[in-house]
Amino acid sequence: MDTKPIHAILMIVLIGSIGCDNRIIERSAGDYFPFKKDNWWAYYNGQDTIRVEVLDPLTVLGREAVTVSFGGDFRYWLISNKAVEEYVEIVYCHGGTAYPIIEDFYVRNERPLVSGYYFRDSILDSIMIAGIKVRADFVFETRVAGFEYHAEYDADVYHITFQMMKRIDSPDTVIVETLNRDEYYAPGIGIVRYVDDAGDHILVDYYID
Amino acid sequence: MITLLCFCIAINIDGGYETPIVGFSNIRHGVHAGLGAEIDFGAVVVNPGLRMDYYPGDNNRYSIMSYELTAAMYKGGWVISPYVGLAGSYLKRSLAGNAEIGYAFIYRGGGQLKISMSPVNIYLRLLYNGLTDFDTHGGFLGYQFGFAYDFVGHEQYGY
Repeated sequence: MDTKPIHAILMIVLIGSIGCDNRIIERSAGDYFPFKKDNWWAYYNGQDTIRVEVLDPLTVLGREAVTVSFGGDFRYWLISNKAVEEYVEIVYCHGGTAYPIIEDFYVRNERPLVSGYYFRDSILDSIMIAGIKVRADFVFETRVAGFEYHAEYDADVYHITFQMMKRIDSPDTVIVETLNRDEYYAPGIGIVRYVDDAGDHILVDYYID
Repeated sequence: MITLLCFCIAINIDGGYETPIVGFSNIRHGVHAGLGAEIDFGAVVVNPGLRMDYYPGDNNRYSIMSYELTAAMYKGGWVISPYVGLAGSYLKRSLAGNAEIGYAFIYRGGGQLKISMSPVNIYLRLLYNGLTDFDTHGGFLGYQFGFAYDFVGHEQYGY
């Protein structure tokens, strides 16, 4: 029997096997955003345990948004295969009434995750309240800083950095709020760690349906 | 005892379309084109070659390119036959100008319909195209259309 074909195929297998342990298929095919209803995650920051859970969807600006509670802090996300968008609202309080200046969705993450990716989204709007012009700026920057293998998840974990700035300009005041946040994502789990002003939150338990 | 050895070489060109069925939920579909040889060993026909796959994402700023060194084989002499193949792939996934590169191992299998009109053979294949890094796997189901032209066009007989 002529064994040349078998030798040729075995050679391909050998060459293929040598260089393939780099997890690129895991990063390509894996789901880093399993934010589906009833899924939850528990994080511990050294003092408190914060529960993040996906609740019933809510219609926001005419679109059905996923409600994600970060320990009671509700976020409204539009999750598609293209991006994760988050609802932002900036209001100006005057005479006991809250006037919304910005109500919109901004791009939080483009999908899928690729190392080195950087995106900046900004929204600018203004309204007239009692004859005065009030302007609001919203700027959000996201950067996929890279990925690193984590043995506890047996997966490549992406590190994403976020910077957010909200600014309200009125004739007598300027209000600026900034937020820096780091999130770490594992395939099939979602956020395994996040760092913000409240501390370094490590995933201690989770449920993925 | 008389043995019959058939040995001929043909150039093979193929292309096709794939849709993700395992993983790759961000991929819209895949298209590919390949160029290779067809070596007839009698009982089996072997297709070594080069192949390029392009997988555009649902996000039109995302795509995967795969450049492959392939080897496939099918049963010689059968109009309908099983088809199996293996490949080593250099893979590049890109989003908005940023890219990750890596290597993947590819396995594919399915069925083939072969229409012979010497010196041209026409193929229609239904294939599962699996990609793995030996930690995770994903796969596409697709069809492939190809033809081979036999430049040598002769048979060698050994006794």
